[in-house]
Amino acid sequence: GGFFSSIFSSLFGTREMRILILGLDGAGKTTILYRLQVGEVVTTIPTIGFNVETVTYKNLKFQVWDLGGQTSIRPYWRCYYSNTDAVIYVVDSCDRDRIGISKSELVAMLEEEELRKAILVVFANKQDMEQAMTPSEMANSLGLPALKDRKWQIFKTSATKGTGLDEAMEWLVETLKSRQ
Amino acid sequence: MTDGILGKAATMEIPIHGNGEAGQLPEDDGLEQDLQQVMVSGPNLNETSIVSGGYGGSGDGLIPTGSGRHPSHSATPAGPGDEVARGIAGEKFDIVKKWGINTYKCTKQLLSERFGRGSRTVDLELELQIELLRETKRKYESVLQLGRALTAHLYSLLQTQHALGDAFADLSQKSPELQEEFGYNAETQKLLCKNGETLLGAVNFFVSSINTLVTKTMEDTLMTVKQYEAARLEYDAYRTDLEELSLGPRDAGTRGRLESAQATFQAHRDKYEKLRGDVAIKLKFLEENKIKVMHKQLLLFHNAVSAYFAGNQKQLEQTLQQFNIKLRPPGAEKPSWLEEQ
Repeated sequence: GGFFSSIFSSLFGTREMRILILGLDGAGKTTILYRLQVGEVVTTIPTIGFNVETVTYKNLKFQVWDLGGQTSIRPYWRCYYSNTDAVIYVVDSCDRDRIGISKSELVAMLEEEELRKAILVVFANKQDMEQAMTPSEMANSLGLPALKDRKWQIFKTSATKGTGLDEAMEWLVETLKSRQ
Repeated sequence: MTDGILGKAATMEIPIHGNGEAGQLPEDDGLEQDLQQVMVSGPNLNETSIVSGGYGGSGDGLIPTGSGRHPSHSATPAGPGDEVARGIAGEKFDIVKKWGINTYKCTKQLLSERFGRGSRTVDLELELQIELLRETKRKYESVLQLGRALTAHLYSLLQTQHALGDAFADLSQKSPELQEEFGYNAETQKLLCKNGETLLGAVNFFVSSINTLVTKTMEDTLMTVKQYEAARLEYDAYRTDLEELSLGPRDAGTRGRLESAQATFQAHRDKYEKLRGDVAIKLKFLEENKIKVMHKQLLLFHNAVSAYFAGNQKQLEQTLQQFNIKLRPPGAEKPSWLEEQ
């Protein structure tokens, strides 16, 4: 997109947003993707590679990339960073053992130049489970308060129950709109 | 990635012979495209305003004047005391100058490749895969077009059936002697309409998924391919530059230049190698994604179309439900290349 296309899209607000869904394996990324697309819970298998879907939300079009979260795939996340408007970082709220790994992956990701302007939305997922971490507990474990020059927000979600996703998407849409 | 090994083993320089007669030049419309590619790899001037007018315009901008030979003739305003302004302007000038030199070198490299002098680095296997991807994309685009045409036909067929159903129903009420005949025809048209809507839903889903695959997923990899191709040209340009310098006479003056040429060559080489690795990875992931998506979509398309034409309403609806709600993991039989490692 050049000069004129950016003028055009700011006049008509039609530019499609690119969103990445990242996070460790088993956090619920694919379930979230299809919740957003078809509004239902689909049966998923561990994602090898990625899934891409076009999602329309509040008249905004998104191309949403759900990248596999297994250790072997994580090094390739960076191949998909360019032109990304927002990152949805999904964390399993019950996985206390791996919150440290989740944090270091997040920190490494945010250091990438290509994601310098990307908005960060953290989904504290699986809130329907007992002993789920609270959002503030998770925010601290991930070191979110220390982030500088980054627009971020954390939401508690349950992809299988469908709770919290609307609030999170609402915030994301508003933030993306105000940034344009 | 093991840069060095890959770099030497898998790539080779192919000297280009032939195609050098000047008479062939006007027919070579690929050249202009490639020149545009050189232009695209210009600096990010978003924060600068001074040159925005001339950037990316006509071909005039391609050959920079005095590429580094007359740095003193700078555009920097020499307003005394205005240090900050001069600093910023100087910085901007440096960006433009750098871009100019780069563009000049790349254009030179491009022209020498075109005229059969010079050599270009080629990763045969990767370029074959890239060509294959472009061809696949073209073919899928035509499937997409046909799918859209089918949607349009189905839609107007549905409208006609709907109108016909209404007309029959109306006549059935108003003509006692043909009430029954009009009646069952109205029913049939309505049923056809209902099944047609379900089929239309399936075809729409098929079309939109292929659209995402072609215009988003494949396009994403092709964007990386374009960056890779631009990096390849840059790399070869600075490689040629370095080769020419090292063939020349050595004295104190050239030694410094040789060192800096070596450094820029290395930087561009690293960039090229990195993008080459990225393209190879992304092609693999893309191939797997294509199979996963198409496996699912072709199954949906087939089941929906055959159920529709068999007149099996129940099966048609089940097919739709199955694909909207339950995501069958396609390609699950075959392990990913990633898992095989």
